[in-house]
Amino acid sequence: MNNLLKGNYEVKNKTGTTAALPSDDKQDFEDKAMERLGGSIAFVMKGNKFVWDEDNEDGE
Amino acid sequence: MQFDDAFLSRLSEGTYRKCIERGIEHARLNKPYINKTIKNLRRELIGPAPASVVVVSGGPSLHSNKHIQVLKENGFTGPVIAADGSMGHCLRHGIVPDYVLTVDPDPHRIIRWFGDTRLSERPKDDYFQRQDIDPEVRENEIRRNEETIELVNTYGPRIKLIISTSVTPEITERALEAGMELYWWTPLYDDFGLDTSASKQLCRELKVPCMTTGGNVGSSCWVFAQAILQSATVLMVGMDFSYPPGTDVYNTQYYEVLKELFPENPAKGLISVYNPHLEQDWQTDPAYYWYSKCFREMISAATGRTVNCTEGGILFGEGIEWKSFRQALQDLK
Repeated sequence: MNNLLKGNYEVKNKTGTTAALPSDDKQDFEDKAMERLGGSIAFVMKGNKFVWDEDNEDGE
Repeated sequence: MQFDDAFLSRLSEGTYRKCIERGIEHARLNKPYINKTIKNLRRELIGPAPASVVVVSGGPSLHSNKHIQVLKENGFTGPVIAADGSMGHCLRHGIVPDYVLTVDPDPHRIIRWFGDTRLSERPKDDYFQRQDIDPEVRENEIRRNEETIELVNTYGPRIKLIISTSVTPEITERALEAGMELYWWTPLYDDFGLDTSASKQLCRELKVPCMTTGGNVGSSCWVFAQAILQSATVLMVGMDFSYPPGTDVYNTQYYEVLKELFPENPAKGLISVYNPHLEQDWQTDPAYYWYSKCFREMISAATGRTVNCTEGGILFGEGIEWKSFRQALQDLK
């Protein structure tokens, strides 16, 4: 987690307990949980481009 | 729960799996309605780019800090960009956003932000009751929905809807019914450079450009402000990506899933993040934490200033100025 929070501040790391996620034989349960825990929409960032179009495949 | 790189990577993949099939299905159903795109909008915008814009996202601080009232009092004249979930709150308090963004492919929930003319037919859902996205909606769901229908019908013709091809065609029809002007885009689902890219395939099929999302509609507003409006300064309110200190896990967005994962203590699925500006610990969950990570990834590509005026939450650090909304608006004068 430390490498995810890059800032000019000290974070009080309170990641809580590492919970026992479902075991390997419940992979499907985990995958479904990840889908439901996930965000509203997919996120992809490539280079410094925000808009991608066929006219400009390198982005804008 | 540990929100390490491996976990967040799986969360990202899970989000992709959840939205790709429905997003493509909706895109094809929306095809007959597609006319103008964000590319057309870019061409229509004449004159210099706006010096500053305000992005209104739907985090709990928007309401607790009364930021729409602050916006009104300060007479801000630049463009206001609202996430779909904040549109009703803006309209109820006398602000008509210039732009509203919508992206989430959920088939039943998101249309509520536009006023759902088929509310009584929806599956039973306590999503809006449990949370603070728009607390006014919790008071009397049916009455508030009727009010939203009326407000959106009244002010829709003044709003440009920046609509993703991923949303249910019911939203498209509702927006057209309300007289909104539609500008289409497709979320960047995958690597556009790959021949197998679903994004590229949709772009070819629909003739609609793809745009990075940040994983949620509030972040998409920020991307729109940067990439399409090309504003020099973006002020953000309601961008909490977290819950205020003391929030019960029951009132968090993913309570139902956390309860399944940790039946004895759903709060195990939350973590606290210390905000040094506020000197407070804010609670966040996997999705919101992922959003903050996505945002930090995007910030390095920004050409303009980003000022977080939320006065709450967990979005701070390099490239993100932290300022009170009132002060930030004063500084623009």
